[in-house]
Amino acid sequence: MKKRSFIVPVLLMLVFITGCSGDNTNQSAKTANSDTSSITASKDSAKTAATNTKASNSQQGAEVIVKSTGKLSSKEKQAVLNDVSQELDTLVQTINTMEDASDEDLNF
Amino acid sequence: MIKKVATSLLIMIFLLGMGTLAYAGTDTGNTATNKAAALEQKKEALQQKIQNRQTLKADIQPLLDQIKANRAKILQLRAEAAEARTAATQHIKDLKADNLTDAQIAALKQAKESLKQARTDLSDTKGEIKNEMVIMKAARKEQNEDQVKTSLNKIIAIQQNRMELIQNCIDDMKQIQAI
Repeated sequence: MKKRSFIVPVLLMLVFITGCSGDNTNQSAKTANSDTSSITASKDSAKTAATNTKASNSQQGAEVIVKSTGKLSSKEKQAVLNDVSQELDTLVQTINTMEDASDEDLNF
Repeated sequence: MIKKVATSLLIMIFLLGMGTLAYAGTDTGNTATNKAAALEQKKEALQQKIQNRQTLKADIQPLLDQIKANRAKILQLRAEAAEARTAATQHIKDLKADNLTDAQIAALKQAKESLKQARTDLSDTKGEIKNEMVIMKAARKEQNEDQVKTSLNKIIAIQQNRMELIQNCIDDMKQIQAI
């Protein structure tokens, strides 16, 4: 009886600790995912972005969380310019390929 | 006696022959009259057709003139769009990516979306005039004047919509030059 009364609280404690640490890991992982999407996007953006770094300790070790302020790298800026240029080309091509009524069609 | 009988027979045969010929002559006359009447009918039908065509042409001439004028205007807008594109592209080349401000980036992104939307809207009208022409030609063959007019009016509406869209594109391109 004494043994049982000792084992049950110990088991409960273990369950509680395991649950908390699991939850903590998930939360830190989520935060890292949401805040650091720009890190994986490019190294440049991570460098140029005004970064707020904070270390969060978890059981797996320290994680660096970088908060992006929306600054684009020069590569990304160039990509925007290229996109606009390409869109201009496609648009003019579309305008030039529109069909219209021919003289033959209008000859009554 | 025999001579008399033979003479009578010959006279009878002659008379019978003449009667047949006369009947044949009447018949040929009727056929000719019928043919002439049919020919006259055909002539009248042809004249009516020509008359209808001339009336239709007179009625729809203003619509045809409008379509031709719109077509010329669209060609002019195309040329303007090509010029605006050249200028906008040159401006984009002149912009240095490193020096772009946030506001310029936002304006460029906005311009891109606007151009994309205009392109989609224009593409949606592709083939509409061609389809309407098919309907119009069929109506013209059936001398369905109302349908011909309806189709021509639809073509004018499509052209006007396109003119508006192309003009918007030109304005967007000019805005890019100002970024």
